[in-house]
Amino acid sequence: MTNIDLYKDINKIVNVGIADIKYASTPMHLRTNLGSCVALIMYDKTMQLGGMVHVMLPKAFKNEAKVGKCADTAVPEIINNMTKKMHCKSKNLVAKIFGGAKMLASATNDIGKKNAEVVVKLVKEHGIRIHTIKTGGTKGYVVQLDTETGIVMCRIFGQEIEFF
Amino acid sequence: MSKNVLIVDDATVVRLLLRSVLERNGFNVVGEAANGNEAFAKYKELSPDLVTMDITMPEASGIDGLKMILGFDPQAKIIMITAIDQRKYLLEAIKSGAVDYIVKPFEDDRVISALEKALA
Amino acid sequence: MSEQELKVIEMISRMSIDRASQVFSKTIKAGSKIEIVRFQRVDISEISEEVSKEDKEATGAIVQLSGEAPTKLLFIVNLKDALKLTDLFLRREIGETKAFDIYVESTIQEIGNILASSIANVFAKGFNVEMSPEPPVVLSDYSSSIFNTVLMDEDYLTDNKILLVETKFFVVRTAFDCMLFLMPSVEATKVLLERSFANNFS
Repeated sequence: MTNIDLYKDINKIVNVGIADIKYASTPMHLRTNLGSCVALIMYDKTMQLGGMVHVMLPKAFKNEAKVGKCADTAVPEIINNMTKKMHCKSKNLVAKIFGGAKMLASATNDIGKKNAEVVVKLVKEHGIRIHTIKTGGTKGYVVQLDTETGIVMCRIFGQEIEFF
Repeated sequence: MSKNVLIVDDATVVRLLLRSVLERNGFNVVGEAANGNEAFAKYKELSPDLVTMDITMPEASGIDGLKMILGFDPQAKIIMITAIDQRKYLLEAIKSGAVDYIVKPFEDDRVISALEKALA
Repeated sequence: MSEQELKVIEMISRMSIDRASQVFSKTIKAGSKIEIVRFQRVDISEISEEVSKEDKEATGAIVQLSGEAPTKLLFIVNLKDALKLTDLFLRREIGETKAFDIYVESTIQEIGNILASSIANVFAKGFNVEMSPEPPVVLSDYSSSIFNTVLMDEDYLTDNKILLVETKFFVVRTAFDCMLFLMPSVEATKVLLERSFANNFS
């Protein structure tokens, strides 16, 4: 079952695991750590409300129980939950997309790149404005959304912190 | 005269450690290789008196390297030094012509005595 | 998997980790003990969330044990402690290695190989299972990014859960922040159970 409860505890960072979707409002922060997975962050600045999904694969197998695991089920789920259940207006929502690294140099299948491509394509198809696409590379990402400001802190391993 | 040895292992630190043990004991390390293919090329180029050969390596394993070298020079002396302690691998190495089989983590004395015995 | 079957896999894992523990001590020439701190089928979302809370800069060796019982092994060390391990491996005074370099990377690669091989040796001898390690892949990254990379394999998941054997290392007179994770595939647990009962292990 998708957890659509809002996290409101003060001084608490909400960590988002693989294949998980979580939502939070100010003053909470949503945080995750990525390798070849992709984080789709959705933010509504009028409501100071954010959602984050940690996508592992581009396409779901039959009967996949975790809707957040694969891009083709995860992207519609987070958008629908935010627009229909949390009453965000589509025009107020922005998407920020991170991750999708090629962690294993020897891997012939660049799953990270595919994850990022499918997430971007599906977000566009839903008519949501994309603010940031920061994907690729060969190192892991830490990303953290501050739901008060909508700013995402991103640090790629071995690099300086950036804000988007 | 000191004997020439070729060290084959994909781990730089193992090559470094073995080099130091062998040189301390009067052997001359003439070259290093990181997989079976490189080992074969270096063997042809350097004609060492003995080869120490790891098994688990990328591209071509130590068993592949052993077979290539012995196919080229049936008199080659090759000692396997590997973390794999399994009958199947031991038998394959010995049947293919390895002169000894040492399991990692190795004791220096065991390596030196195996080399001396092989070269006697 | 029934409780009884899970117990059998746990016993096999304990035997292999005990062997890895002896081999590790011999490798670094220091008394050490690897202890299993968790043996559990864990949900991938929950475990990755848990790991990300303790995130640190680390280096890890991922080893695929191939053969009849495919299993993944992850040996992961905090970057600072990887320097100490390199000194021990190369039989130097702790503190000589000052920065991450090819020797540190290679030490983690080789320790990953030695630990994986020792575990494969126990499985092969004790349970008549054909099993051998592939060359390790070494990653320096966030510990959770490395961990997540190992989780990304459907062959290891049942209902999005993975069987996880988590260990901690205790080394005499030296504090080390390193861990070993063993993850048998769905196929591996099946084969290990069959062979265990065939060997009257029950």
